[in-house]
Amino acid sequence: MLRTNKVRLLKMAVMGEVVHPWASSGYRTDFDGKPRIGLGMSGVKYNVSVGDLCFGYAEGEHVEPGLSISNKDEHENAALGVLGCIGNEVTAATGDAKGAKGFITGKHGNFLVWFGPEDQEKINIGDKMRVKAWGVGLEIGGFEDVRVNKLDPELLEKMGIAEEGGRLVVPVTAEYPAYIMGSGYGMWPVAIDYDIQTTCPEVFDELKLKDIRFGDVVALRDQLNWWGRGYYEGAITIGIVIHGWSNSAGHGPGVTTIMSAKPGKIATKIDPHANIAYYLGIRKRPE
Amino acid sequence: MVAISTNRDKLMRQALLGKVAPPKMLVEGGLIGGYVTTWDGRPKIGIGVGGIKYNVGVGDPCLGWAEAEYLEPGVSLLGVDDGAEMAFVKLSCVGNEATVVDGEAKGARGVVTGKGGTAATAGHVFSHFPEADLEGLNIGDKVRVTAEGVGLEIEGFDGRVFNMSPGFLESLGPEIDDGVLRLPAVKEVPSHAMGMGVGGAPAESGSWCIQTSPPHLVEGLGLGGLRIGDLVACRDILMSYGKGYYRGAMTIGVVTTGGSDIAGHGPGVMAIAASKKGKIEPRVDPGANVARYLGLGA
Repeated sequence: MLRTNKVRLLKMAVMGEVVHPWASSGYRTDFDGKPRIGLGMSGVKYNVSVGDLCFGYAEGEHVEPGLSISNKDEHENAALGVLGCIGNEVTAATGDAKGAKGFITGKHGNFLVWFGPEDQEKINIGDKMRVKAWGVGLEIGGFEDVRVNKLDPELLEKMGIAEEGGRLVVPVTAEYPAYIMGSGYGMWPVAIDYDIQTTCPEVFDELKLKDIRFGDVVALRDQLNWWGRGYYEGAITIGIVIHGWSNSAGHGPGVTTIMSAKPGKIATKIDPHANIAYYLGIRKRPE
Repeated sequence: MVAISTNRDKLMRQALLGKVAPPKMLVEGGLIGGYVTTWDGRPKIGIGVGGIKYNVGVGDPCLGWAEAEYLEPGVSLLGVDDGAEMAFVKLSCVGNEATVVDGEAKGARGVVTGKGGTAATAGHVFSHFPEADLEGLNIGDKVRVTAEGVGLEIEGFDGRVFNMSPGFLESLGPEIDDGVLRLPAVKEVPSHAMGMGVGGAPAESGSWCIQTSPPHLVEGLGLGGLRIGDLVACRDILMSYGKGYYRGAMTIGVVTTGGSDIAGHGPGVMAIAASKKGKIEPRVDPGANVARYLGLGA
């Protein structure tokens, strides 16, 4: 079992509300100059959940699974954005689903939240959601040079991570090279995800990008997400896939980065079921 | 190889109005905030965006300036109001004439040398004016840009060109052979060195950074000698209807700003030509810089 400083981490309430889907007033142009509608950001998705494939939704663009929450006050939203972590408990604070509980599953512009299907049926746009934010400052004992980000301490403990030879061995579904990382590059890992680009057909076949699922734990090679987000030869970043496919140049499934270190501190082990849907008990892990 | 022919006689020429942009901080902090955090966790002030630079122009080094981030060369311009800002950026092209229309420097003539796009440089157009005219120029002075270049096409080229006047394109000595366009560039930059800006706007606005951290990346690729205004060839990079990776593609761009110490950031590259099918062949020339092509004596 990993040792962490979780007893020293503040656990606090932050608020969001379920946000309405939005659309632009015209087509968005894809990487190849084709007009597309592009839907799937914000709102409540009844048939897209953590554990599902990221690819293949009609006119889908950055599809967010489950429901999406944010806070309409700029400053409060900034706090929600920094404090909320993947795996944090979310409670419906108002509306017909009041008292229902779910989890944060990703941080895009919005936070993405999973609720059980019966509870989700009762949720309306505008319902208030209380997030029990917990995780900022999380460190792993003996691995203080591994930066942990936006990860609930109890989810960390469920990810099957082992200590071997001075390294953390993390189960992942796949590894991706630096050149394929797209939009969100250079941005602040605490605030936003970055995308695995799905707009070069040759590469998405070669890297099997159509197999990516919401909730997959993946490794990014030669990527350091520490004080910022950039290239670093030999570094490894671990992230969780949070949103869907894109046809816009430089975009694709988003990755919230949860661990990152310079060379020699993180190793990976391929596990096709390394997905938070299993770790959080949302789905039953196949034998 | 033969000289190119273009549709330059079909391009609209029109007046744009901008103003000399005020200096701008990357981070507007209060009390104990206010620093940029570098890739290795150091606080940095981050100056050089906006304003009038008396001692930095196209042809000068990208790196090494004290406390600088995204250093913009010469005189930075901005659209006169929010409604005009996007048109000002999208229509301005390298090589367009810029004329001061009010203030003490009224009548001074300069030239557009590049455009910003990434982070705090968004909306900025960079211009060069003779040193003597800079003395009379103030922040906020109005500048007219005679825009010409949007829609420029090269006959027989399987790709797109952007952000340059027909005259600037011709000054590059472009040649075409069997659909392959030859353009000068100081060096090639591989896709893994490209950072912030990926996924951004179509090629007519915005830029895409060449990462200038960590040091092993800069040393390994010889990026330390890059100059503002250099033409670079970005392999497997497609800046066209957006900015993304595309294997086999080639984009030629102008390095329009100085470097950065923020992870994933660095000198911004503004595209001038791109081919999804790789129908561009860079002609390596260490002197391929906007300053030379515009006759600015650097």
